[in-house]
Amino acid sequence: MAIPLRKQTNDGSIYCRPNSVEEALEVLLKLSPQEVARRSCIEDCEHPEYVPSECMLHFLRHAELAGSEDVLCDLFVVLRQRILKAVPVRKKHVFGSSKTGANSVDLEIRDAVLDKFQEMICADRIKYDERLDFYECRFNRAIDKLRATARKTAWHEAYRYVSVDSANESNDPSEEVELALKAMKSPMYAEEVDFLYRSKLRAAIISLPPDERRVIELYYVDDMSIESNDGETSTIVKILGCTEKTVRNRRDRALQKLRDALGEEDA
Amino acid sequence: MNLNDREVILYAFAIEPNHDRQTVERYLRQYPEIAEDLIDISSERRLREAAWVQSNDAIADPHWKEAWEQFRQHKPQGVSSGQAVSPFSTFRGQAFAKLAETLSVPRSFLTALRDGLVQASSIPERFVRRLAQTMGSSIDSLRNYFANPQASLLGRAFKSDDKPSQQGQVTFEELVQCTNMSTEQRQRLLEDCKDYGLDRGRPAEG
Repeated sequence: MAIPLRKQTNDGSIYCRPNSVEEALEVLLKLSPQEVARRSCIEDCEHPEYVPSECMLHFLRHAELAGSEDVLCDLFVVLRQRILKAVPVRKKHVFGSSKTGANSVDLEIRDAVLDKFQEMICADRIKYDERLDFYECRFNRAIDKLRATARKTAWHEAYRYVSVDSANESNDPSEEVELALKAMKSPMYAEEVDFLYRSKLRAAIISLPPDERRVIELYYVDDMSIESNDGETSTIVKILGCTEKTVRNRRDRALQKLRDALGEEDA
Repeated sequence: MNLNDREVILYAFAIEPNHDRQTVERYLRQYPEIAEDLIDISSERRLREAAWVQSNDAIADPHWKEAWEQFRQHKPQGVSSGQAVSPFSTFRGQAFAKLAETLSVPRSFLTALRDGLVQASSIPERFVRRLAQTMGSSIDSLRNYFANPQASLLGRAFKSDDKPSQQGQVTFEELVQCTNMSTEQRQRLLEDCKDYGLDRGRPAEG
């Protein structure tokens, strides 16, 4: 049986790994460490011998399971690769040239995520770091948290001197943009929207300033109303603590940017 | 809310099985002061799941060697540096109860072992191995801990006016026999007793 986690939930119980992770660990703990290292190189997550990142982290946290430093090093390198891949870096056109380069803000976010993870996994070697228990439960989702924090910081750093234009025009989203936004919410819509189009939309949403992105998230994905007369209902105005006009302006600016970005790509 | 609490809430939210509207609203109602961060996490997850194509090409990682060295140089838990640290120190409260449950032994049984009430030489090797694996500790650090109960006891906090002293120790098997537990639990532990004790000399007596 795998070593249990220690982090407690609010009700005092201990966090449990999902069954799929426990089952994968059970299989891996019976294999030789060398075989675990070999399997960890399999990149196709549909492959029956694929090693989930949660399990790889478990071995790294309990070095004695890896048996040797060579195996531990292999796992360490592969897990770093997985983190790097979990923080995509967009390409951008180099001004005055036909070449493309990496988006510097995205690179900064990637570095920040990797550094934070490195800090935690090193600290954990000396004193059990309960935060890593979250990663042993759902690795990619815990990385989502790191990426969100890093993106917020990087965005503020990069654009702190850029003023935001107020948009007066009222923009109704095109049907295509609206459908694609819904596809972000439910797989049901996914088949109706071209995958490439969704990928472009995803890149465009990531480029939005955080305050505009949050409105899009709440309005289109969580289906929340901007304002409501019912005091009990959650509204975007209440959640974000700003006026109705501000929320509408942010939504309209965001939609205009999304339309522009998708239009540019198609041109 | 301090930074640590904030981070824990954000992680707890991030790893929720579902980020449906009910879940999002529940967190937003409970923690309105971190609403923006909660929405950002929700957005990151959805964008990742909605249109994510992961390349199989390796991404350049120019700093992996330094990172590995740094990781390697951090001493793992259980490695003594000057004063011995109890391998049980991080298993408190619920974590201690969970440890006992995972090992399928009564809590009182594990408490007796932790508190140095058992002769080290009588603790079966097989049990120590299972304990080490479950605790994520090394067999050696547990051996040292059980072999130096006085030191481990002195390292713990006592609410007493008297100096702590070692009580009379019992053998592992005696502890198994005198602790309330199910027949299955007792049988398994007695099976362990057929293994060699920590002194690696001969099977534990009894």
